[in-house]
Amino acid sequence: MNAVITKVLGDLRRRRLQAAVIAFVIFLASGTTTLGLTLLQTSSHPWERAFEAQRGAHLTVLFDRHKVDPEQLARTPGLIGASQVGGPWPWVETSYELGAHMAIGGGGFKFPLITVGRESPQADVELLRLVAGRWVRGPGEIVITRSFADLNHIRLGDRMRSLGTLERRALVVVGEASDVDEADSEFGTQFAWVTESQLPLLAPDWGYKMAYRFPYAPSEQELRAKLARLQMALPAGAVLASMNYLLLQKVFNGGNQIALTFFLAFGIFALLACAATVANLVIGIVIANYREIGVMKAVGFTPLQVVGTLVVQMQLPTLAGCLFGVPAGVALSVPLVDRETASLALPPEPPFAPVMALATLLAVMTVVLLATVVPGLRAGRLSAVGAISMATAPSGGRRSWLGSMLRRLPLPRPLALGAGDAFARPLRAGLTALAVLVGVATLVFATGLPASARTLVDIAFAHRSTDVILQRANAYPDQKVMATLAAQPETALVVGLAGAQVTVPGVADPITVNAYRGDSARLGIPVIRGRWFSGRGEVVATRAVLEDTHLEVGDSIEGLISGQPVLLLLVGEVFSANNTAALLRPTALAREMEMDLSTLAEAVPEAQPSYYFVTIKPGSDANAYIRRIQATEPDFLDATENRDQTVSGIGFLNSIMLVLAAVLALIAAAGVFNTLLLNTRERVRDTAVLKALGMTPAQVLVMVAAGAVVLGVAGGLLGIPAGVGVHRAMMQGFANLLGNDLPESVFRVFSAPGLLLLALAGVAVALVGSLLPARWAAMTRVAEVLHSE
Amino acid sequence: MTRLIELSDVRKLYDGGAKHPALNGVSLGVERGEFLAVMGPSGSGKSTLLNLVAGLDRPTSGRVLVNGRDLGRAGEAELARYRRSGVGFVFQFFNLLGSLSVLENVMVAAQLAGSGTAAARQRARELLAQLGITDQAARYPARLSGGQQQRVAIARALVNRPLMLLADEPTGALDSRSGEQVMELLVELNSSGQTVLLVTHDAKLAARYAGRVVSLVDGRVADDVVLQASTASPAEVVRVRVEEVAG
Ligand SMILES: Nc1ncnc2c1ncn2[C@@H]1O[C@H](COP(=O)(O)OP(=O)(O)OP(=O)(O)O)[C@@H](O)[C@H]1O
Ligand SMILES: [Mg+2]
Repeated sequence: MNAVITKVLGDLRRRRLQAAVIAFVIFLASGTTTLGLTLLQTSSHPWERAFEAQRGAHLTVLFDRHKVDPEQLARTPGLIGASQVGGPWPWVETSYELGAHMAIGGGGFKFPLITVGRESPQADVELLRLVAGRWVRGPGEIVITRSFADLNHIRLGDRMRSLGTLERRALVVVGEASDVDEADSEFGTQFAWVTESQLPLLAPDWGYKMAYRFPYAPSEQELRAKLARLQMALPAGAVLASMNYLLLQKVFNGGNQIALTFFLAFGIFALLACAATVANLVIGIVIANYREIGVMKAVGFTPLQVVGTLVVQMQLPTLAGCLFGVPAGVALSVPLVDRETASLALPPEPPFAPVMALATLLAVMTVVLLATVVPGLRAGRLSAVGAISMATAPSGGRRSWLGSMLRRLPLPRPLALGAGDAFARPLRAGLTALAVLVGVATLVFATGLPASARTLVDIAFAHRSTDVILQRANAYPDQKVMATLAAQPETALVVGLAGAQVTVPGVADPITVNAYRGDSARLGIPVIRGRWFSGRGEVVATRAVLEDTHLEVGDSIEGLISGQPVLLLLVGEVFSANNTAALLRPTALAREMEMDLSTLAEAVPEAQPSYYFVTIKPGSDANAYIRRIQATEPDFLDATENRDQTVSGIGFLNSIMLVLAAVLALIAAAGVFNTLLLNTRERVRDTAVLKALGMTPAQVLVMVAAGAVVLGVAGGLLGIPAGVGVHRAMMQGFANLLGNDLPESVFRVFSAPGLLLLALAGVAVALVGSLLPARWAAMTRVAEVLHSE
Repeated sequence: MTRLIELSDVRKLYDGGAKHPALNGVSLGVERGEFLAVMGPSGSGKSTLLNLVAGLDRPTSGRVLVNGRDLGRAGEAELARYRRSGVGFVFQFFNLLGSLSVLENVMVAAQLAGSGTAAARQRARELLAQLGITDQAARYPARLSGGQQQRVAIARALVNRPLMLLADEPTGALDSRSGEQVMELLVELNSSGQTVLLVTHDAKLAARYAGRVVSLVDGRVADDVVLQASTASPAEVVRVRVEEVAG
């Protein structure tokens, strides 16, 4: 054993550079892997923990107070077997005005909130955690969610104004609560709370909310059955909307899931690239060691001791790399984990997960062990003479076909020689090209994703032809809005949008209806199959709806809107365009049906738009237009320009991914560096001979760099289709989560020159990796090398 | 017309051996068309001398002039260009490129010197024919005998019609039969005008084939003898030296 240790220490001292390369690559690899695994472990739990801690509702139902009274509602738990219940609480969806503008009157930022009347945050179901301030005690007070407060920079003591009635009641924020329902405030609906007696004063069209909890965790099917029973037992149209916990869980975890899928893909990529690089490194060292292995055996090392020496020699730098890489990965995951838990106001979870750290360590060390043992055993079995002669055998003894081909290319000699030498050891070249491939694929993928997100956002905020989006408060009538718009000379097109819900046989959850008034086809909502509706009775729907209802384009179905039967002919499939939330939060929101307002009017004759998509004449100033509209009724009209939106969630994900792509590029560069280092060291004699024959240092540099270029081109060219493929697969998975089919334009985000540039990035990475070995090779001292024969 | 090679008071100190210079004040002139053998015990500085002439290394002090050009002042790239066209180098251990065929090994030197592929192939074939190894052209060096490999190396050294052929123990790794054949080849080349510098520690070979023998001892020129004819015997070399010492 002593002999092994002496030998290992000596080798490490002598091969400091290679030990450093191993440690560096392992540092990057273990860091990335730890990051992925830590996120995986911590991100899947916060919602579930919060749900249990706050006794979240398995089923929440919103009722129309005109169709059902509190006594009837009190009997509903028994009807569906709920063991605990919260409510009936009065609720209303209404807009609020908030922000600094309030003080100077009008024109401030408006936001719709579902406000619920509750006397206490305590309840059997839907316990609210107060994270700041206190609960509401009487008139003029409101509690909002922490994420809403954070997003809009609202502090305790700030004022908000309800726009549900003409008096515009002023409310002071007295507390911040956290609620499992809320998901992330950037998307989805937000809640706020006032006292029960105050709620009806906020807006006239309020209703009741009930929260049910069951003694077991019901399945989707069971929840649907329960909701159906509820609808049967109550007057038609009493159930306005419902939300179940599975959906919410999906909503919350969905965003995570997307991020996690990406991270996992990256983790696997990183592991692959690292495995290739590490294996390459280790095999290279073993091969370079053949001569010494022969000498070791001649001196009396057993085959096992030979392998042991190699294993220890590799594992020491590996350990060193992990020692820094694992904590770095943990540190990097902290802000990510925090971001997720903060929106639920959970205590931040200590991100250090010993199991994950250990798992990473084991995975990395196993890869290194395998890469050492396989060639090591072969070397260990060699006879002493065999090993020595194998080491001294000219490299021509194992010529590769590809190498000879490349060497014969009609290129300047140094280029052709270098290109051929790169493939002199096909396994090594293959592994190196693989590392470059992974790097380029990641880069392709990391640049493709934001481009796709961008396209998706463009489509989702769609109405590309729309310049201004107008929203009216409930208190302000449609005719006045239309009159205001008609009075503006710039107005070219107005399409109104009214919301509703339709219930379809066999589907428990109501489907969101977008009913348009006006030339809706001109909004440019992408039709994926079939065509846009063209009149009363025709509808288009998202894929989620088609799947739930088992309908095909061309089928017709009878739906219930506000209890009234309406015959609907499905003429097309669309990409869900109205809910930005659906973008990142795969929810029932993507269960969407678009129709003409006349179709909705069959069931709800009084239905009126509350959103307006306005196109103004070319060359008009949208901002001036908005200011003028806003000035007519600052409290009840909210006009915004339909311009590019940024989705910060994607931006965040994107920056992380670019960092990871950079890490993978670095790993690839290290891989190339290592390969060329081994190649040039093995060929130092050849290089010396070439220099003796008159090759200039510059030509030697070119020769080595040419090898790098060939590896870079190979990896780059293969990495492009790999990256595009992974991108497509990911976006497809994302589409499935959304319940939408994505328009083809979301996939086609790559341009040929752009891809070429990325392939060149592969070459650039390889060139960076070749810089030092090439320089060292160029400086080869001929006399010295040839002297030491 | 100046001499082809002119060494004046050349000293060479390696980084490690400051106390014992590898060359310690060597002055030496070589004319065009000479066949010079450098002799001496191991470590006396023979290879160092040859490397300096080949432009593979620079003298610590003194001047190495080849064709009037001071090699000590030339840059790396200039030396490389000089080696391409000015020098043909033959090593003890052949040093053929294992990944290239015999023909390619010869061609590569011509290509480095800038000749086109077709011209290089033509010239390489000529040389292989001249050296009697045409049938080996497509094979790889690892499959060749030592003597055959050394012929390839000589062909490679001659491909650019160098000013001089430098050979460092070209027969050191060969059996005596192959060694003699290689030496005869060098004599033949010399008789058609090629300048040859040969390093050897084999007095017999030097005496039999060289026109002039320089002996190095501890980095100094101990002896410089011009032989009358290539038929001179080793005894004759010794005799000349004795006479000189006596005289
Ligand atoms: N690269 C080098 N670094 C340090 N010392 C060197 C180097 N090359 C040669 N020497 C030393 O310079 C001296 C002369 O060496 P050189 O190789 O010229 O001898 P030589 O006459 O060719 O010997 P041999 O017949 O054994 O080949 C020796 O003492 C040798 O150790
Ligand atoms: Mg020597």
